[in-house]
Amino acid sequence: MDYYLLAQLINGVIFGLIYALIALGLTIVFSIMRIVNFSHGEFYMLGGYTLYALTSGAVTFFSIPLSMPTIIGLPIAMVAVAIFAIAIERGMLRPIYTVRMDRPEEYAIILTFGLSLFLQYGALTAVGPYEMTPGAFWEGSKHILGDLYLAGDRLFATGVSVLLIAITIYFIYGTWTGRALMATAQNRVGATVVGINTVRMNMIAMALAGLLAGAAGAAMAPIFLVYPDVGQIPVIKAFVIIVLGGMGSIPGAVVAAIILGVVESLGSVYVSVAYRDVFAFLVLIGVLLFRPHGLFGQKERRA
Amino acid sequence: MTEVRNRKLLSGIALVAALAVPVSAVQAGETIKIGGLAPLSSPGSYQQGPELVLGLEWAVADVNAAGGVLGKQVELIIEDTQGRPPTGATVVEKLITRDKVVAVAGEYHSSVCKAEIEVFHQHGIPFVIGSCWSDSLTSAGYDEVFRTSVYSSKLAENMVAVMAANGIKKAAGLVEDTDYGIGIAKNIENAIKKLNADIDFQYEVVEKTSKDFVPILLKYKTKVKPEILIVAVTQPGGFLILKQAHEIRFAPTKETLYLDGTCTAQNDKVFWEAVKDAGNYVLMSCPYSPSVKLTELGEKIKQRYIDKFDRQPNYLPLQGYDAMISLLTAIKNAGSTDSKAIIKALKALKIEGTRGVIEFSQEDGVWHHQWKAVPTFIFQYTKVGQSSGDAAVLFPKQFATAGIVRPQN
Repeated sequence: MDYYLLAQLINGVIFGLIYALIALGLTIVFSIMRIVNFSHGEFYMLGGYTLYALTSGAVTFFSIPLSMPTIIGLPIAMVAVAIFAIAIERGMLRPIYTVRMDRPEEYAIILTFGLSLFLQYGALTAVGPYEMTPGAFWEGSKHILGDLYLAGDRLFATGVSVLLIAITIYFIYGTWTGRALMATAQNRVGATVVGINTVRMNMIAMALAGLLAGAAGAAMAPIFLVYPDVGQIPVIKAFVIIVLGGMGSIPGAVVAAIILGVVESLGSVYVSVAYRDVFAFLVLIGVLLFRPHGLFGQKERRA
Repeated sequence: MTEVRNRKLLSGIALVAALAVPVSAVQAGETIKIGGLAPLSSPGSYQQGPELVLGLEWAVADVNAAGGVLGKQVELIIEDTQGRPPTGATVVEKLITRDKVVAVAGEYHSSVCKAEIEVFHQHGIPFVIGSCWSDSLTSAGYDEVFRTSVYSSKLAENMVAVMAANGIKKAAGLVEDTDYGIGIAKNIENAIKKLNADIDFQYEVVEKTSKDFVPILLKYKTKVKPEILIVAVTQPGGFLILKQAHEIRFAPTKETLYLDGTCTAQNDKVFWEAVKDAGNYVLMSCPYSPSVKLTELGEKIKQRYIDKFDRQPNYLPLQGYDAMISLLTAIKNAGSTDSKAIIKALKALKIEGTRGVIEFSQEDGVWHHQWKAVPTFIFQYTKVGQSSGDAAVLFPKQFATAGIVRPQN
């Protein structure tokens, strides 16, 4: 039996789920804070470098080489990136909400864009230009079906994506803090009136974005390597996904990511691999022509 | 009071002005300015750029240590071309018009070189290409453009010769969407016809920034079933293709060999760190062999690199050195910094570089101002973590130490 088409579909869905994890943090920050975080790709990059630093033995801590198992390094990398994201929110983004300023959105765009460049060039200077691969989460290639084998690490990253997407959806829709985040996304003034500390919600949103981007960067580092501009292309795809899914919609981001993964996978082999990165924009244009607010978008942005 | 304040102000301005005039500016009249080009930041291949710059800098340092050129020290101005053709053209314009360089050497990306040679041609300034391999650069026939690096059609002919000698009948290629990548695929097609080789070759152009190459690799594995996969995609894309070809058990395997056409695999420590066991049995096509004896100068440069970095150099520092030493020697031979005199001296040049005696052909087409005898090799790693110096040499015949080894899976 020819499993070729099915194999391509499975690979597309798997890659889509990986995209979803990257896009999720971006859409949460957008819906809560109403800013587009251009440095999200660098949060992803930091996740990968942190995992490498913790697990490869190349970095020493008080003369002891750090070579912890990758499975322990992953949550530490997530937390480290989340702390970094909180620091960015407190140190740089908070004035948007606490100080009266003209054009706060533009301030945020310029700031996060500058931060993105700073982190990329910082990594280039501090770590060097070369690609690094942390140790594996799940060694070897696993047979899926037909001629399709996939790296254990790719399957692990997919599992991490599914788990974190499920936890995030539960957190947003099933907990008090999640509902407070949604309320902040829907109406910041109204949320303040009913006693929600919206500034704290911003911090939680950034922390969540840091956790998810850090997880994506670390979980995917053994497959896609770590280098200074590793986050550049994934974050462009993430922007497409959040617009396609509907700005600020979490289910929309997940569905759009899977659609994108499948379209790229099938388009690569049935149209041309040369235009792989163009398919994302073709799908986006096609959907926006008929649904200007995206697949799951509404006129009022919401989490 | 006002006068005192003004005097203080004037002396302050004078002090600031004195401090602002850098030492190099003071010496500007006593230096010969040379430009150096390389990609040093994204989206260029910033992994390769610094290696090329190293060769350019070492050549200048050696010449300066030996007294300079025409009684003056050489001042090297390095510019980052970012792998973008418009940036390349802009920085060349800046080097020529603002910095007043007398000549330029370097560059890595063929697409960027293509934009740059137009500016050099317009201004009549000599340019020695450091490491752009596209045939179109020399076949443009510009009087100002010279090349000490290897060129695509030569590499393609070597690859076809190795495939034919090993009875390979079906080959597939993945090449990047650049002048270099598409050029090498076209040259393989031409070489198959030229050498009358019985090889069925097909290729696909990929975006070098892509992350997931599994769909196209799976298509090759299931539908095409080539005996060899030739990849002309620079890192990190090239490394990802290798990792993913290994991941889906496509190549390198007993059925399908893997050939890295970019020679990025030669940077052994970086290569093994990035691809780990996926790199075993990889073949690579390179313009330098660590296991073949270099010229006296080449051995000196190689040892300097090993002493500094504790690893074998790849071809880039040597290509950078050759480009710059050719240029500086031509200026010395010309006895002048006049562009026309330098170009004339480059045409007549014959010097020992790091990898052989460099002289530029006067023939037309791809050999126009090309170092025709530039060495090329094909190697194969046969152990995980192997040093590039220990890799088996497969081509050319006179240096071959082994035949192709296939994995036993």
